[in-house]
Amino acid sequence: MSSIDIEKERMKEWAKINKGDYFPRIDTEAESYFEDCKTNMEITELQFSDMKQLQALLESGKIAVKDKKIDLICAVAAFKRKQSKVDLAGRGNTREDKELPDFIYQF
Amino acid sequence: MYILGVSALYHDSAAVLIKDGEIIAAAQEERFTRIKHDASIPENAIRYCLNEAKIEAEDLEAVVYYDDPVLMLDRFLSNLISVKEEDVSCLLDYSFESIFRDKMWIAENLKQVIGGLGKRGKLLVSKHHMSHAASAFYPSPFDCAAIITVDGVGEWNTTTLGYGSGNKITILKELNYPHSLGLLYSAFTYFCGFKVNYGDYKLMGLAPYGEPVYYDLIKKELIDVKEDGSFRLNLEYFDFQNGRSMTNEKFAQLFGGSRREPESTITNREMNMAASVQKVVEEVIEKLAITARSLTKQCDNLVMAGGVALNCVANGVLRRKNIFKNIWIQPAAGDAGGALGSAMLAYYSTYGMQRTNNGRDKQKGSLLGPEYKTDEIQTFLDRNGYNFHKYNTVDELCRKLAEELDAQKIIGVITGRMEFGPRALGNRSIIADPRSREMQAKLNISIKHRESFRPFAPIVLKEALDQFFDLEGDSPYMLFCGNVKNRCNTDFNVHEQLRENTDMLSIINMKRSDIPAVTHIDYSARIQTVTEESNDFLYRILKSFEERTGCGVLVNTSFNVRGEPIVCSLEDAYDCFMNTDMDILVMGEYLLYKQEQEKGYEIRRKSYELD
Repeated sequence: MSSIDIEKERMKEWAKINKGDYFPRIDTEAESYFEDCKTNMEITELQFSDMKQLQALLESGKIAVKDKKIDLICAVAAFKRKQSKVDLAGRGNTREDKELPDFIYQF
Repeated sequence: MYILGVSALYHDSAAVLIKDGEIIAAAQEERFTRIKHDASIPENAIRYCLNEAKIEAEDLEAVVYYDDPVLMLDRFLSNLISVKEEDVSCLLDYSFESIFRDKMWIAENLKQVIGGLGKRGKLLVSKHHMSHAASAFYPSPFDCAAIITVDGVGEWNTTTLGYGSGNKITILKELNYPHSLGLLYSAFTYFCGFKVNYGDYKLMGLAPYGEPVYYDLIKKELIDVKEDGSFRLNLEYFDFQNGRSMTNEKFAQLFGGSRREPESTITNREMNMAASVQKVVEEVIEKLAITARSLTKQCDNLVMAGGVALNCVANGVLRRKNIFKNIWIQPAAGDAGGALGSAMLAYYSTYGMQRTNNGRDKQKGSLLGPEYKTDEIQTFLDRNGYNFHKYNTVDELCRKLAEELDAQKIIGVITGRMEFGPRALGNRSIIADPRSREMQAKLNISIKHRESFRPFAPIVLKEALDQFFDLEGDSPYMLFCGNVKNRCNTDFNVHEQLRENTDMLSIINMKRSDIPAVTHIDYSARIQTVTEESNDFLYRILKSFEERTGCGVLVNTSFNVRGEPIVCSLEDAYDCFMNTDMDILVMGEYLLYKQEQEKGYEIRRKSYELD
């Protein structure tokens, strides 16, 4: 099992443990679905460049819109990807890498 | 003060450089790499922007990215724990690498590409929809305006309503993922056999062929729209949240069978689906505008951005409703424009600069990309030994072009600065005579190699607008549809024709107006108005053509073939010219005839993957 597969498995387990439903459904009784803007819309500085900073940021609760979802596991996954990624010149150079998927919206 | 804005890793990567609030340079990465909608870090576009200003990375005050990776992660994780257990793997397979390898490390990756993050040293990040809102408001000609942003999704937001005044933007209301008008439209794009991320405008072009017979069904089953324009999707019919595809089996059952296979025959079902979802989008946009108006009562102006704001049919409908006196839409309304918005937001918000307004927009005609000087073109032509004609004056050249257009020649034009945004506005365009009945099919099949149903847009002298089109005001960025006047064959009804005749091409070729090549099947047209100020060269070609023929209108389509990004360089333009049945190529002041070119030219790239 590759390192990526291991992290994906851990994340699957994490998803199972934290199972929830963050997708509100149609409510025919409601008059409006609009929410007042809750997000801080100011420009911010991106505050991390290593795992420790990222972990601290994720655990601070300052940046999560909805709590208890951002977790250490994400910091680990992100940091490992950072460590394992080849240099920029070595990737994203094939057409396949740069093409958008054509079966699903890229988000 | 130089600020660099960057969009990347989703759709249409781009870089924009502003200096003291003025746009200095802007370009999409796809134009350099020749990969349509290229989403990679825009290395080439960044380099171009810095070169254009003759500055180095250390001269930048700040670098701003248009999307907040931490909020994006929050949405991804919320999505992950909201789907069924069996869908988690699929979602992870789809997103894991791009999130944890690229998006989370955008600061590091940009730093490597740019060679630093400016004097600030840390990457600034703007919220995705705030970037869109800023791209719509700050370059607009208005002191204050209501702001609507609508797209697929950015972090959590899919729709926002806000207000801009002076140098400040306030977002008032929001709708969040997974409830998205952009994703609904993309679902229909996918189901009708077009590519998601590529084919939304095809669905829009297909809509007039159909009747909105599914409108009620969509409203009943797929989307609940409230009176204020807010909405939610019925997720039982969609699969995008699971990372699989846009729609599921239940969606297919609702529309009587499986998805249309790409490149297969388009049937009445797809035409009717396109018409129906288009009607829903128009209705939602209108309601959103009414709500925005009520939230910002004192303001007569509306600005819009986000991918859905490129729906020029809905924009045209909205304009005719007169909910707002004035509407301005960011020409690069999709993600590319987010780079512009984020840079401007930093300038006005983070650095608190005052915004002045002289009543004209600051988009500079969206002609913000690379250009070639006369000596560079001469060197290019000489080096390659291409045969050309050079004209002593621009007027002489334009008169010659008018003569050739009148003789039904199809002309590729590369001149001045490349357009920023998805539309070719005359500097990287193919132009032709709109009076010809066969021109639409000829352009589609022989030049663009694309589907025969797709319409072409007119460029029209601003002073001749009223003579040909039913559209008040102007449309310099080709973002509003209006109706063609001087109709002939007024009994023509496309729906009746399609019931009696399965040969779509013969229907398309039926003359419906004095300018059939730019008259869509429902008599609509996506109009670009041209003035001396907006594009002097294009204006002079139009003027010469009008003097010769009495018609101040031309066909304007992007200089590319299907699947290819719009040409950027002289090499791209010459290659595309030689790869198609185009007759003439204009490079600045130089004119090249196909028949005079050497026969042995080896085309660099003959085909692109179909979009």
